[in-house]
Amino acid sequence: MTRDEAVALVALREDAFRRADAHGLAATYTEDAVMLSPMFGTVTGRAAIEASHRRLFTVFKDMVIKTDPLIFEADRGAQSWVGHATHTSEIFGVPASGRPFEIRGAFVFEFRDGLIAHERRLYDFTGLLLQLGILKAKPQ
Amino acid sequence: MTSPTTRAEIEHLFQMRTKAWNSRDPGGLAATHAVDGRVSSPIFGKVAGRPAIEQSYRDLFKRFADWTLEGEPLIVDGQRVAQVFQVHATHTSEFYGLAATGRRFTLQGLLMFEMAAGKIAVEKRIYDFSGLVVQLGLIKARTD
Repeated sequence: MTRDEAVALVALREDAFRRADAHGLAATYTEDAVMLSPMFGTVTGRAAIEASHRRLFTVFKDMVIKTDPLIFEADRGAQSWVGHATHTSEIFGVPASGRPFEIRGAFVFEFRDGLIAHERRLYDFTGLLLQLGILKAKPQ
Repeated sequence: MTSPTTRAEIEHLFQMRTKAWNSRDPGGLAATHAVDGRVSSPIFGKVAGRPAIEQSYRDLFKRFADWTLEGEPLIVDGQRVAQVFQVHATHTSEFYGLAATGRRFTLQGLLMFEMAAGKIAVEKRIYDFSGLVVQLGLIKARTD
């Protein structure tokens, strides 16, 4: 995969993300792709990845992600991002709280056949749970 | 105008960083940053200038005396670099007012770098900082 092809692929993802288009996002993964997510765990296969995005856009209806330029080399890539959203539906047994949050993180990609074959999501997941009130901080 | 840092030079610089990480050498790590380098870190916030960056490494190795960082192969894209890392360490000295607990923790994250004149001009660190704080017991997470 060339750098230009990788940049075009992540641009497609960003466009699909803006439209909360789970199917469009899933189309950027290989059929047997693996996604490692703090929120969804290990998700295997394009269909399951599409379902995880559908769930994401239900739980956080107004999710907006602003990405930084892709760092790409030899079928591997990394991209940092900032996300904003509101908690609009049940997650981890906690009903919609209406709480807004901001989170910073990164995607780490491995590409194959012009698509994403492996993706790791790295971010302050515990901080997200604290912002949503799913976990509550209790100082020592 | 300085010429761009080559991939070989970047690899060499990061080999020096690996050695400095392995020997927990704040001076050696700081030497890989530009004199006016900047670091954005969940633990240390925004750190500017090589002396302050060196002090942040010194503080890190004091708080977590056995800090062990394993870096994955670099992703080098011109003057930008990304590296996934894993850390294993023990809390051995005061951290945000919490005395040494002896607790072990692990951490996975991403380091992103911008190079200039053969050194790291900007470094951004991304990881689950709140998870670290919870693992250390600095805050207790409850779900009730």
